Amino acid sequence: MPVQPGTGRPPAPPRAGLRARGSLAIAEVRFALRRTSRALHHRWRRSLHLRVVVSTLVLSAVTVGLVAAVLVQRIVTGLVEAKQRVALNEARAGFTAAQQLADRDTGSPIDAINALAREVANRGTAPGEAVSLVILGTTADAAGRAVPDDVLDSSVPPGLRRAVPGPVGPPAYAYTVLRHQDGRGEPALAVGAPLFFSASSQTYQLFYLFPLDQERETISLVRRTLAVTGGVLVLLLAGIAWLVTRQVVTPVRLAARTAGQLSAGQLTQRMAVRGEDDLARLALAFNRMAGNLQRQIEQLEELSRAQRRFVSDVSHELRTPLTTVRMAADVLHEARGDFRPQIARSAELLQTELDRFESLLTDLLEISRYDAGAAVLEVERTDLTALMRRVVAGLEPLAATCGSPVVLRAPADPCLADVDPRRVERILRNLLVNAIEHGEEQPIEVVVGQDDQAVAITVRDSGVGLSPAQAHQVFDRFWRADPARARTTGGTGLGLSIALEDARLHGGWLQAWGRPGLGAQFRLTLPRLAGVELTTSPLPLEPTDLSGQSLANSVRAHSMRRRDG
Amino acid sequence: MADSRMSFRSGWRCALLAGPLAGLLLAGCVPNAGPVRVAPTTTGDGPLAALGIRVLAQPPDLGASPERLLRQFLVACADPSQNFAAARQFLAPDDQQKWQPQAGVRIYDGDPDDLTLSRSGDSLTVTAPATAATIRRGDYELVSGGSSTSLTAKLVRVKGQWRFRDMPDGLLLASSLIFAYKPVDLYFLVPGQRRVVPDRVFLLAPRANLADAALHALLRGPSPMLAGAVRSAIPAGSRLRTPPALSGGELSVDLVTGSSHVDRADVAAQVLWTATQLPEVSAVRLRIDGSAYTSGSVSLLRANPDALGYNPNVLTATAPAYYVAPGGASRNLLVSSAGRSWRLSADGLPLRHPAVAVDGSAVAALSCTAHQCRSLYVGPLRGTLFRADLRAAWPLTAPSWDSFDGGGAWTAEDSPAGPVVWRVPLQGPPAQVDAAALARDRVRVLRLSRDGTRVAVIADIAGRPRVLVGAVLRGSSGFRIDRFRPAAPSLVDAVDLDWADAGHLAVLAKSDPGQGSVTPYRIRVDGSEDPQPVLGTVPGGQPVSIAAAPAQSLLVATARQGGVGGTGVSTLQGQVWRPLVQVGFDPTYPG
Repeated sequence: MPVQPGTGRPPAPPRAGLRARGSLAIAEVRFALRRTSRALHHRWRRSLHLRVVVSTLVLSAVTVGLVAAVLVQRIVTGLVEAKQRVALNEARAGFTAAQQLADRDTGSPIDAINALAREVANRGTAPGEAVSLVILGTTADAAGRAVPDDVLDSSVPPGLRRAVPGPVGPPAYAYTVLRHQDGRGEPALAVGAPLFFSASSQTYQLFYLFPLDQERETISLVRRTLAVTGGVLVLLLAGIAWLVTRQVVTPVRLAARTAGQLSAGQLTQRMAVRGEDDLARLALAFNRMAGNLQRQIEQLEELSRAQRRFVSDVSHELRTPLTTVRMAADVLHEARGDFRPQIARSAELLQTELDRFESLLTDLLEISRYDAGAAVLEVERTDLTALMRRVVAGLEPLAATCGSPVVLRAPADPCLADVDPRRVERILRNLLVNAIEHGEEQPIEVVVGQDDQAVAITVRDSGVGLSPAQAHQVFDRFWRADPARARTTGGTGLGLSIALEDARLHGGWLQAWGRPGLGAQFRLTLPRLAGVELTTSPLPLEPTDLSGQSLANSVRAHSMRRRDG
Repeated sequence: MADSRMSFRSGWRCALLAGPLAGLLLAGCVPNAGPVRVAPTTTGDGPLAALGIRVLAQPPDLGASPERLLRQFLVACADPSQNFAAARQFLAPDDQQKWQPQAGVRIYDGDPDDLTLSRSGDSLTVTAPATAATIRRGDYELVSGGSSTSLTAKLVRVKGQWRFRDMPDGLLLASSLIFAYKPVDLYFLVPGQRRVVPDRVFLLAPRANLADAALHALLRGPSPMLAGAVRSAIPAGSRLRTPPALSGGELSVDLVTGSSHVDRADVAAQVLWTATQLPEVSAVRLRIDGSAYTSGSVSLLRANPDALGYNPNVLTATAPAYYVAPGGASRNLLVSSAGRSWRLSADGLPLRHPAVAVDGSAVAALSCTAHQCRSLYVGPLRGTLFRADLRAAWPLTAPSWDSFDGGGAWTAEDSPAGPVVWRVPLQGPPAQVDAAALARDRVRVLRLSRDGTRVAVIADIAGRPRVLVGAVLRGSSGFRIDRFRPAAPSLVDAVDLDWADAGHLAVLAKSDPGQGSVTPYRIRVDGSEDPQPVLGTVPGGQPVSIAAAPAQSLLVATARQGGVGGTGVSTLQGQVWRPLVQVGFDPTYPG
């Protein structure tokens, strides 16, 4: 049994193999077609240039085709009409001369008929262009003549034979096919008239057949010429459209590129201005707009830089008096046992608020470092599972306090990535603290995942949840889900902002998902290698167990209501 | 200043643009002015019409009488299409395939109406007035003084209609209906020379297939009339690999000879001259035994007589004419139309009836008394003429030259016992020519064609001088002239003739015995065309001698009634006779 070389498949019956290969080939072709059509469609949508050229091509082809059709139609009509006029005149002259010959003839008509045939035969034109003559007798013993000698008398249509009456009458004509003995045929105009010999009172029918070969050749020449010139014209029009569109599209493309560069921050980019036409005016206006934008952006940047410096300065300036206040407060706090309970309570309050104030200042300083672009990444190979375990372990007391147990699900293998462990730990802590704080005594689920490119961690709580709009706002500075909630609990309101900045610093993603009543989930995705751009995340942003969760939620709400009731 | 320069420059540029633009616009217009040009000459000027004529026969009439059917049948015989299918319809079914129409053709003068019919029992006989000619295997032969000819067929009734049985093979055709046979010149070679000779045959073929038919006939060899007198360079058994194909005036011929000793130039000349007589063929592309024949570096052959050197006309169009002018009592002068003159005398006697050799180097002339010329003198044109040792007892005819072996002058001794024909070479003794075919005829004039393959004579037949043409055969024992056929039975009382070209004679004769004086006619050597009278009246009296040459004007010498003196020579210019010389006689062209 022949084994197909190069295929690892078990040998199949040849027909089935052939069929399989055939369908494979068809599939490949179909795939290639689909790919090509998709690429074309893509280019069609993307390229104004292509659209204009193709439209010009199609429209001009249709126009040229219509014009050519009309032209050919007119030429055919004109040629055939001219030929018919000439042929009828020539035939009329021939009939008159023939009748005069017949009237002079005193005996048998044979000599006159021979003379007529010889006259046509000796005209000396090449075969194929020459006029043919068919003389037909109307009685059995009147033999006709055919010139040239290979013309069949069936070239004269029977209708025309009947239409030529005897012995006198006007000429009649019809279009026909001039048939030869070897089977050739060519279009011809047959003109017939009766020929009466008074001496022998015999009637013949005289038919001149004018070949339309030349007309046919002329028409086919015109057709060929029109086809070639039409094709060239359409291609030229497409070329012209390509050139003209290029003149318009190139500056537009340049403008688009410049605008793109501007929007990418290269504020000094400008368009080149050539000449004084509309495109030059567009470039001028564009450049003016770019200049204005640049000025305003620079002003705004200046303003924001001043603000950031102000915040940073304020934070720094506050630190010194705060240290002093702290030391004083520490003294007061140490000695609070000696105070009256009311004052002792104030000292404690002072201590707590100072802690908050201090962490707020730390966060503000951190944020201002980001704003100033001074944050530096110190990358080292880190096992994120271990890191996460550490964070969870560190926050277990808080979780116990809030009543939200933390469940960590991590793969057995270490999730190694080049990250700054300090910053990632801060992100994770922020996320976990946030989840515990909003956990509403429900378990917190932490999942660690990885693939070739990236590692990801999701932190899921089952608290009040977030609306999709809130999921976007959650990273804003000092944003709170519930403005009415006192600032006593929770962090500084900068934790998620800092976490986001940390994630961005790694080239990673920090995203939030939430539904009211279904809780919220945060996902941190980090590239395994620093600087590699992320395309996908190993873990989904939206929880997969959503329906089950909502069911659990609804059951819980139901039971709570029952308990209340 | 700057302005004017600007405007000048822009104007110049405009002109530069406007020129081609105007040209483009005008290109679509019908011209109404332009240079004077010469129109190309038309083809189809040859002996063959571009188109053939076919007789359209009618099928047998239902219920017609046998007599009427036989007349219809004889007309239908003129239509050869589909192997005489029309004529075969008149035969009984068993006889339709048996009948052999191509066995031969008898041509009678006149129309089918001139036939007389007689019926005896179940056989019907048709009698035609007189046979004018026959065609056998393409060879056209005039029959002079032919008797009436008849054809008898048996009658049989088939499904209530009369049909013919035992129809004799061959055709009986009216001369007015003979369109199916197309006259074609086949070209063969003069023995020992690079020169072609036309041999006219009549081929049964549609006009469109004539090139094919002519080439096949050429392969078969010369007609019975010229067999032995001419040679063919195409070996017997040669064939055409494919039918000749005509495209754009070029005929492609692929010849297979199967022989290794083929003179390719001779073959090419024969094929080329035969094919290009058809007006639709302007050039020939020839392959011989698989390899293309080229002349020089040209593979496309055109009929150019000077380039190939096989010119059948022998003489060039610039060959001078000669005539004799009286130069005194003892001498005559031979004057050429180029203005030169030579003494024409020998032994102190003036000579008459000169013949100049084809190459113009030698002359032969007769020494005459008042009524008879008995001595032939031959010699170089510039030197002394020597008397040929003929010892003639009877008058000699005017000499003429062939060009075999350096040339020989021919003359005939007009003896009542039959002519004695002599060939006198320039060097060497005279040789007698076998002229047994003319033994019973008085010969007045004998002229050899310039190519030397035919001889035309004026001989007394049935008491009146008529024109005959025979072939010149060359055997080991010498020359023989034979196969004489009438060339123009309708012309009588011929007094002189000359070869107009290889296929035509100029004759001084009468078409009607009652005619007052002879007039010039142009006839075909085989008599297949009616004599063409040369128009116009020759001035100066009775024409007595004529000279003709290819593409040259006719010369006729005239004599006033009753005398030798006071003769003149006239020439035909266009359609008008003009005197060439007031006193002169015996005009001649070389040959």
